[in-house]
Amino acid sequence: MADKYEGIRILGPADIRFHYNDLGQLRATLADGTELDEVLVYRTRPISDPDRYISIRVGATATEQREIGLIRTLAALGPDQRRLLKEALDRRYFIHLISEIHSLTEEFGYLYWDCETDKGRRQFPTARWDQSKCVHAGNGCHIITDVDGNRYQIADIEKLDPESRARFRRYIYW
Amino acid sequence: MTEDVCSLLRVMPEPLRAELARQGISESQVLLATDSDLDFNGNYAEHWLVITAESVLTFALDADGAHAGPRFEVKDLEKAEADARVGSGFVRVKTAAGWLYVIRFSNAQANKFTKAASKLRLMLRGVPLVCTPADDADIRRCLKCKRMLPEGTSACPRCISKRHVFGRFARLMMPYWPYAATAIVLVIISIGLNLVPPILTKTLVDNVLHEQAAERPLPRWFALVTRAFDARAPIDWLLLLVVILVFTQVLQILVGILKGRLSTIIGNRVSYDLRLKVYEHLQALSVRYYDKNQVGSLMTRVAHDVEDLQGFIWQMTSGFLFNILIIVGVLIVLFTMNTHLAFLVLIPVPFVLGSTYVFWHYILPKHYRYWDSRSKIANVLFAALGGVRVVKAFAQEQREFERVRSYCDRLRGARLGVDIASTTFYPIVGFVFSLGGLIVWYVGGRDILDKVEGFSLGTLMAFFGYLGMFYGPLNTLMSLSQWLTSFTTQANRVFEVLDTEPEIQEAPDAVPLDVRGAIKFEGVVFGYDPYVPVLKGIDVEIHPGEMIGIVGQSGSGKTSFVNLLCRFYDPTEGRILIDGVDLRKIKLSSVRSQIGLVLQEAQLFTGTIQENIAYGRPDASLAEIFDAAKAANAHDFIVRMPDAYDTRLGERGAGLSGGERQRISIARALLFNPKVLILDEATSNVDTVTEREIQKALDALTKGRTTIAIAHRLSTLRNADRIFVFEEGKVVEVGTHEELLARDGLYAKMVKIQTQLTKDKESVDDVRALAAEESDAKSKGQGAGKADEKRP
Repeated sequence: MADKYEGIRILGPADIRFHYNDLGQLRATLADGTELDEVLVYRTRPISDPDRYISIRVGATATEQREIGLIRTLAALGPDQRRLLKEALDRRYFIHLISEIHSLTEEFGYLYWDCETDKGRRQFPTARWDQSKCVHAGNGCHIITDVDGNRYQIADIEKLDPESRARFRRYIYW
Repeated sequence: MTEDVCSLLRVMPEPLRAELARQGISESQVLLATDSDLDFNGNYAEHWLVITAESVLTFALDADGAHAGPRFEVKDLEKAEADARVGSGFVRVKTAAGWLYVIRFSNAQANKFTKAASKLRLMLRGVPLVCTPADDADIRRCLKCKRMLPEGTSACPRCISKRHVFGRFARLMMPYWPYAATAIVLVIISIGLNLVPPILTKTLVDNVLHEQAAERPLPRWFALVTRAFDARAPIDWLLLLVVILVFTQVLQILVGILKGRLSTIIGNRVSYDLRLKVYEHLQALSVRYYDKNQVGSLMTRVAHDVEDLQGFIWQMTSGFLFNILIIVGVLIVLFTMNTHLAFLVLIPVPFVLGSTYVFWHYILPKHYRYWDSRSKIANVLFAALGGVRVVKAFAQEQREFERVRSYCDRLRGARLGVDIASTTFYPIVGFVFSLGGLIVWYVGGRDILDKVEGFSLGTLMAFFGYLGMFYGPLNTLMSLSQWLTSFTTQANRVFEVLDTEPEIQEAPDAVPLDVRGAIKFEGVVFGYDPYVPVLKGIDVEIHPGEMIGIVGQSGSGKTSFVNLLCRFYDPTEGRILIDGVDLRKIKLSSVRSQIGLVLQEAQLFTGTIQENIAYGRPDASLAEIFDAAKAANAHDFIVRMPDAYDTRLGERGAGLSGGERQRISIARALLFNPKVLILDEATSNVDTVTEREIQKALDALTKGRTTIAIAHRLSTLRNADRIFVFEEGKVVEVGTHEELLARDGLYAKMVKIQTQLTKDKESVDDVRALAAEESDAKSKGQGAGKADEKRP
């Protein structure tokens, strides 16, 4: 083969420094001194491995967007840099971790959930028969999307208490 | 304000009002005030967005009061938009310093804040910001109870008046009322007949088979019968009773047959009427209706929902109405026979109802799991066996085996669940159903032993007879509410179609117009959702006979542009003029009969090729059809087919290649002879050779008419007089191919990319060169004259 295709770029802790400007926008400086405005931070595997391989991108619109590089793991960064990235990720991803299902009932083709989550007790409806609204992501992990598009995650259905699991299983049989 | 105007202009809580007052903002200045549920860090909290003519303000509300958050001055803002992220979103504004974030919201509020951002954006463009209750429309939820509506309907199963639906359905049956009335009479007769046999059994046991039968007084009705037939001995009575039993049963069967026939006749006629009505109405509806409703769901309404409504008649004659009446009848008879025992028979009723509940909530869901596993295993097997070459090539047999095994495990587990539940449930239910009988045995038996007045062995036997008719119907009645709900929603889905008014209405003063082909867009703004404009201010003019090429990325508004021209939709703002007349003032039939449409996917219909070509003009002569096919470069391949023009096409033109279908659709458009021709990516689905063939056909078609061609491959535009370049809902470049290349803008960039991608003769320049040679040879004088008259 003549030349290898261009792969992704891995950013080490020394390659990039993040900081906020006085308007609270996230910016970054690359090792060669390049200044990046309005840095965007994405997860490459938000469900299976949320804190590794973080994509650092720039560009205000979808067509302009391009990737600067990937950060292999948040753990490799210093505490202040890690905090900045965590904050940016928290602004992009909004998901509730379900720890208990208080009740799950069906009415007219919708499931009405009443759950304890890391963001407090939430009640929400989901479409009853739409399997894509409650996806098994492997290893007992389930991602639930309610009718508004809010997202909920059950980290491992086997680790929920038996009552919650029974309620879940009665309707989510796939 | 004491009440919310709408969700975008809500009553502000006292602390917020105080804080606003402190900042010198009076309530009358507030144009938009609404609450969000998140803070910037993604914690649930009460935040407010307040917009006045001068500023955009945010506040965090907690127990201590309102705290001012980010604040922006309207004069500093360039743009505003909702930035949707994963599970939540932000309203953000663009200032000289770049994008800044105003407020965060969870997706539950996304609808509201998308509208708020859109209103702010319009305000920045000078449109006054006004919030009205109309902004609250959320078509997914019931307006009254805010519950989610079932997919594909706007009728809430909880809130719709069931009586209203029944009334309306009953009106549909009006033309058949003699049948319906007869059916109801038959229902009552059949219930009466059902109640007869146990009474006969009672007489049989007490007065015929009993040891002292001869000494016992006969029931009055039987005494009359015996006298009429002059039957004196018990042996004659036996024969008489059996004959009566046979007679009732035959009668029952006859009534049943008649009842069944009548109900199918009514049911089929009503659904036939309804189906045609629904289809006729669907056709009249505007295209926008088809955007909101998937074709599949509409098909379900015409094909299945209407059919299922037939079930209504069946439920009346053999289902619920029948069961209710029979329960009432049985109860009346039981209570007249023996009040005390009848009460005892009611004891198991709660258990019977309970078992039905258990079935619906615990046993049936286990079946879902089983059915799902079974269908998934079929899919997995199909994928693994169908893809066996790939599996073997990558040497992944073991992994596929594991995958299949895991699904087999699931299936085994699900089936076990179903079987274990069933083997437990059904015996218990059987016992519950027999409870009534056991009670009757004991209590009734004791009464007989005690020689209680008026209670005989015959009465006991009759009781058993009636019991069999009691618990069964009770069991089915448990699903009554379920049936009612599904019936009313289905009926509503159908009625909803009938009640929808076509959105594109012809103006009362609309005029027919003989189109010349001059088209003008004046400040046209349009969005399928009015808050998300797809076309953001289009001002273009097209001259009669001109060929316009339209290029742009997908989503840039090309197709919306032609959709407006066909008047499938009306613009949100601005207007479209054809020959100087507002499109809305021209008769719809007159517009559409002069616009020809060739789409990316040629839509052919079932029928012969000849019928398909003559689709728009069924009266066309054979010679005209052949001419059109010849010009569309289709005649030769059609003639070579065994059945030539008589070839029957399947659904959607099955049996022809994509290029052949497309050429037939071009011939159809040619024959239709429209003044304005629209080609929507007519050649994007075919290979290069076929494209050339189609291109030749198109050349014939575009000659002398206003043509608007949307093209993905720029090579299609070799003959365009002018090219419109669309970007994000605007026309950003206009000019000839050469002018646009010289400008070195977006078009030039697109041409460069395509030339790089396709190194064969597909680039615009190459194809143009080719075309120039061809057209030079063909028609020199005409081309030159045309160009002069057409260019502005």
